[in-house]
Amino acid sequence: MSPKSRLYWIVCYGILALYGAFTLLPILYLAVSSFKTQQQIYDGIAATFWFTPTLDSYRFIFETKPILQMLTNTLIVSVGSTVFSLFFGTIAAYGLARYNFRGRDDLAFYILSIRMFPPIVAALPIFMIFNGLNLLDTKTGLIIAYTTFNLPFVVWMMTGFIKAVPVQLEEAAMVDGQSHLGAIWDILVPVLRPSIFAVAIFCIIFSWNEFLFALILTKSQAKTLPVAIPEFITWTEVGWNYVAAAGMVLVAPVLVFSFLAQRYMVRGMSMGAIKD
Amino acid sequence: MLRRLRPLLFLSPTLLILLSITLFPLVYSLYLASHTVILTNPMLSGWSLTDNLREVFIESPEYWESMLTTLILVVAVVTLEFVLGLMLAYFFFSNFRGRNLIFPFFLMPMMLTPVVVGTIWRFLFNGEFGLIAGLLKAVGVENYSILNQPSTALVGIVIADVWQWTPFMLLLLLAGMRALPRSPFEAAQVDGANAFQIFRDIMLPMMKPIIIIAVLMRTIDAFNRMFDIIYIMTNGGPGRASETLAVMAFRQSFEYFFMHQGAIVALSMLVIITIMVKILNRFIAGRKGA
Repeated sequence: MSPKSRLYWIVCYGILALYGAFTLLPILYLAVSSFKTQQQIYDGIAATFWFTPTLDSYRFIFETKPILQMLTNTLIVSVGSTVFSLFFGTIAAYGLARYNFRGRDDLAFYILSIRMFPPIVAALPIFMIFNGLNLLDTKTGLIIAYTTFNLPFVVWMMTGFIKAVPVQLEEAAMVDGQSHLGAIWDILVPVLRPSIFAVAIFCIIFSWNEFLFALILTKSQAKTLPVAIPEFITWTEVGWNYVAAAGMVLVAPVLVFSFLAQRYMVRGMSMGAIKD
Repeated sequence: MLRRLRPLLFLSPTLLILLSITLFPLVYSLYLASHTVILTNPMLSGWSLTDNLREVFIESPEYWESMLTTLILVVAVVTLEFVLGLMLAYFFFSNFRGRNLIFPFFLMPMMLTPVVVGTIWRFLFNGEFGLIAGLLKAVGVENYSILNQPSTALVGIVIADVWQWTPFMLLLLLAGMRALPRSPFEAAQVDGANAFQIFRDIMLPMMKPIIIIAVLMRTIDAFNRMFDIIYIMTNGGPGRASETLAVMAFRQSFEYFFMHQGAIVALSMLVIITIMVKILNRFIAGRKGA
């Protein structure tokens, strides 16, 4: 674009620095607070970033609360729902991308719209139904619940990705004598591997961060870490350092993962409505 | 014939799963909405659709208050996020050293667990030891927390939501800017237009479809998910000052155990969202056709 004036760059850097500080400060506040003692929390504004760090808060939450179990639950449910949704969703996406049939676009729209429905609408009846089926407070139940948002996401994303691969690749393999499924497995799947990886990362992050379903559908056995966070607060408001430590345990893996998914961020967050 | 059934073969497992986890709950929701279902009193039951509707929509102002709270929040956060996102996107659209290095950090809030985001802001606003209270103390205001005042609790929630979701706008709008064709900009430059004229008369009109999609997506999401951060920051309070429709549906169902009232509130949200999703779909389809 055109060369910019000096004033433009002053304003540009100034606003980016301000907004950058606004963005980073709360995350830093969480991080430093998790390394403080309860006393240090009250030490006043001057001591916010100047203190002797300690791991006491982490030690305390791991010793007094089943953090490890909740972390394992969160991981199992996230991965379980992601694998399940990816398997069936990719197969369905193939049907939508490779075949032209009456009502296809309506069907694709129906699947997309499920992803956009208010989660509370599904949560109420699912609670009642799970109550009847003895699925409350089970990881299986939570995996099923998370499928309501992961499966439509996978179908919608993978349909776009598969459409972008020329069908001639599979046809050529089939002309060479391969079966249809063989061609899909040997030709299409390897090409799609990076896309599948990206979609998987998004599914895992969505599930990892999920709160409403986990709050309603779990009690103790299948409880995930996000649900434990508010408990730390009601437990005692003064335990901010403990809440911060639990929060850090929860968000640190997500931040690592999100840097991995960087390249696919636009597509994943806009569900392909905007091409990157 | 067999070939025509092929797509069904691929689609049927997913459709079966989706139907059972959407249609079945939907029918069950309608059942809940039209009966009296109180978890703590299983003896009470029976058809009562008109009574339920009257209770929720006419007899008490709570539903309409929550609707207003939701609308205020959605309009406020989407407007602020759009303006800030557009401004940041414009700056990131220009070339400067270190741009690609700092960009990922601007996106971080969007990926964080909303519950943790709510927690961070709850403590930042804490009147006793929060960072913001500390700053206020320096100018002589003691133990003030905006989350404790009915008149300002929404402001705190708006700030937290804007903090988390402005990166979403930045990401989408920047992608939109990068996808624009070059030639109109070059032509305008040759004609001697200044940077602001180019932005207003060329860039914005060309970005219109993407802006509409980004704003609609964010509106739908804000309307749906105004729950996690509110639950943790204020739990709808003080009083009902920050009780959105989603929070109201939750509280009716799981704090007062009036499942039928919760179901009616939730279903009313579904109706509103369905309309918005239809509009969104028209714009996405329009773009694909172009």
